[in-house]
Amino acid sequence: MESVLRALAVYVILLLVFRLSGKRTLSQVTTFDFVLLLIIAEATQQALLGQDYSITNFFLVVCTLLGMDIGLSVLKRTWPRLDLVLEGQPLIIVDNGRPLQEVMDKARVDQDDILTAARELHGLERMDQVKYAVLERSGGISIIPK
Amino acid sequence: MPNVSASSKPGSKRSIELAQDMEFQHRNWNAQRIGWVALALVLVAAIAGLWGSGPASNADLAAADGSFRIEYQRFTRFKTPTQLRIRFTPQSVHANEVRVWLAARYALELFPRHVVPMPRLVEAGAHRVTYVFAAEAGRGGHITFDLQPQGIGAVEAQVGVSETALDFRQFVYP
Repeated sequence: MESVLRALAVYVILLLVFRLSGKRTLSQVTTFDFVLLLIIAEATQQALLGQDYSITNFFLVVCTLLGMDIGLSVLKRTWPRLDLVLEGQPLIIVDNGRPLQEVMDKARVDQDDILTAARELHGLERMDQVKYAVLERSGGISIIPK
Repeated sequence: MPNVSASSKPGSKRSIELAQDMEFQHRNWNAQRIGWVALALVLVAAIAGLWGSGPASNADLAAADGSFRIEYQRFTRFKTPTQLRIRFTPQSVHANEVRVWLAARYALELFPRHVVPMPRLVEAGAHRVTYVFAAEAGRGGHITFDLQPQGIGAVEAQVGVSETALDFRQFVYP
């Protein structure tokens, strides 16, 4: 039972913490973001295993984590609202070449981030070549050029 | 792999160059559903304690003459600490000491790492390992062993206080 409860607690805590920290934290824009994610993974390991290094514990922890994932994905199909609460929604941040400043400020995205994505994805040079820019649920920015 | 179109109109062709085996896919999805049920059963068993640590795993036994009782885990896991608690009554105390023993082969299979309280002395014997604790005459108490399973599978366990023995079984998961 302890294995299942530990894994459940870790899953829920990680889900909550990452959901509350906002999208940009997850998008690994810089090397440091990537390192931070690695460190968090390290910290999670001890909480998941405790003092129990048996194969049975590993099996139960993996089953619990995957079970939660599958269970939530099934529930999201039944209640789309749950999907919105758990994953958020894609946000339009540039509308016809015009950056939506209040949305960008709240989402902690600046023009440089949008221009970087525009260059990387489509080789665009300027903001007025961008038709729409969308801050996706993953924290990445997708660009639709004019 | 048969190039089977999933379209309901027989003979309609798609322009995309992609073979589809929908029969295989449906079997795949069915297998997944069965897998999910199995997963749910595994988790229910885990919460019940069938994989160790839980209501189904907690067990206690009393000696026939009532001189002591033990609390142990029916299901344990390899190299993972598990507790064995022996609650003795005043009738087990002789000459201000209580003698608690584990069968020697049991102590080899579930290796005692800590004992609380510390024994006054430990006697190694061919068939038993005997722990002698200081005890107050006329009062009971409890001894807790921290055991670490050294192998996998069923374990025939035997513990005793003075000359009274208790036999029970435990199972060690890998």
